[in-house]
Amino acid sequence: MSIRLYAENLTHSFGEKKVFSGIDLSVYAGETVAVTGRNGSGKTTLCRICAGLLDPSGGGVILSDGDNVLPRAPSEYVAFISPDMRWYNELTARENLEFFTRDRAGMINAVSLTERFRIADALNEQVGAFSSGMRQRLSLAAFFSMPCVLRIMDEPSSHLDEEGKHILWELLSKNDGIATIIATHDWSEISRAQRRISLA
Amino acid sequence: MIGVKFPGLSGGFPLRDILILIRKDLKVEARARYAMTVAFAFALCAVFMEAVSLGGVQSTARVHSAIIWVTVFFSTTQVVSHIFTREGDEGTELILRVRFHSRDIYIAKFICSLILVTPVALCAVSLYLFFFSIMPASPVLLILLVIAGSCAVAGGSALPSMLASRARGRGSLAALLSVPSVLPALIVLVRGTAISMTEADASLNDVFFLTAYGLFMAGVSVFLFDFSWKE
Repeated sequence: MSIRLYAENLTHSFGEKKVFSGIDLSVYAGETVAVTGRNGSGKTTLCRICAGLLDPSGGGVILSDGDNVLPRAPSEYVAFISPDMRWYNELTARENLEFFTRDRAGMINAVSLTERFRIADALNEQVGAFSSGMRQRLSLAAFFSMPCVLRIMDEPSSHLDEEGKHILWELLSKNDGIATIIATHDWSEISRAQRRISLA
Repeated sequence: MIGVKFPGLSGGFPLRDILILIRKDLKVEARARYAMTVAFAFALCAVFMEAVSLGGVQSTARVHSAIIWVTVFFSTTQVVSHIFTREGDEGTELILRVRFHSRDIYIAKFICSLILVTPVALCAVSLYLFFFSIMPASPVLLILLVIAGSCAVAGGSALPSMLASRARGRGSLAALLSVPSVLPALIVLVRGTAISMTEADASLNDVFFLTAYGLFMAGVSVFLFDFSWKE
């Protein structure tokens, strides 16, 4: 299996407060790694560093497609989802997806995923009227439509009902060769991952 | 230890992404209408109060133009600061950061600010001229100055607005932080506007200066924006 993400001796602090130190992480193509730990242990911070959204205080991260080192730029090679992501309430779900996917092929893919997540009927409604579960389904449809070599999911099943979780895991269990990092507290998700990293 | 420092996004100048961002910003502003409504209301109230308090007082063209541009500045910086701070206020920043390069986000927000600020500035100036019954000697020059002045205000107050979005003061802080970077443009605007009120054949030098100033500030901000945009 070829490596997708390699991180060594990662350290991060917010001011005086050290979040974590000495984290080593490697994720291979087609592999799912669960990142666990108590609240405040740095799961979200680790995800954002791996996604290129945050620079670590120490250590380094390499992203690879197997042959080449890739720029650690989230919009190009990494798909990222987080409960902190908010959609534009003034726009419809379709307009939000058009904006997010940026091209026709991505949009077609995203719309078919909204059917899978059972929110296709609400595509022309403003997101401001959506429940938190519907927003999460929209985020997941957008997330899975992104072409990438690495998926980073921070608590992907938050706000989802059992049906939503089931669809999520169906999509994740497809062997599409994409490496996946999932930060979660959910044992049903942890048990589905091939490996687990626990942050103290 | 791995010490690789990754570059930003590779590739050329993604005009398509900038257009997507501008369209999104304009659509959101058109539906929310908050920033524009507040800016127009602020301009109207300010000009009305100026007319009531200064009505009948004889003032020079220089004094009129100074009052006009102070009004325009505080009306328009609210729009610019809203464009830049809204993403942080409404939590949509992460969506942008996940999908778009900070350079494209800045350029789109600058252009969007310019599109929204210009009608506010034109409206504020027109209202002032109407309330004070002033007929400019060179209306074309005045219109060009307002458009170029909007460019200067948008360029000069964009980065301070972004910095303010990181602080708690938000919109009100943005206007204060913008004063030093917009001040040189305001001085030229006051002088140019006074000339446009009194001279029919004034030169366009001030218009060129203001446009260049706005674009220069916007250009500098493109490089600095990344630092304020990052977590």
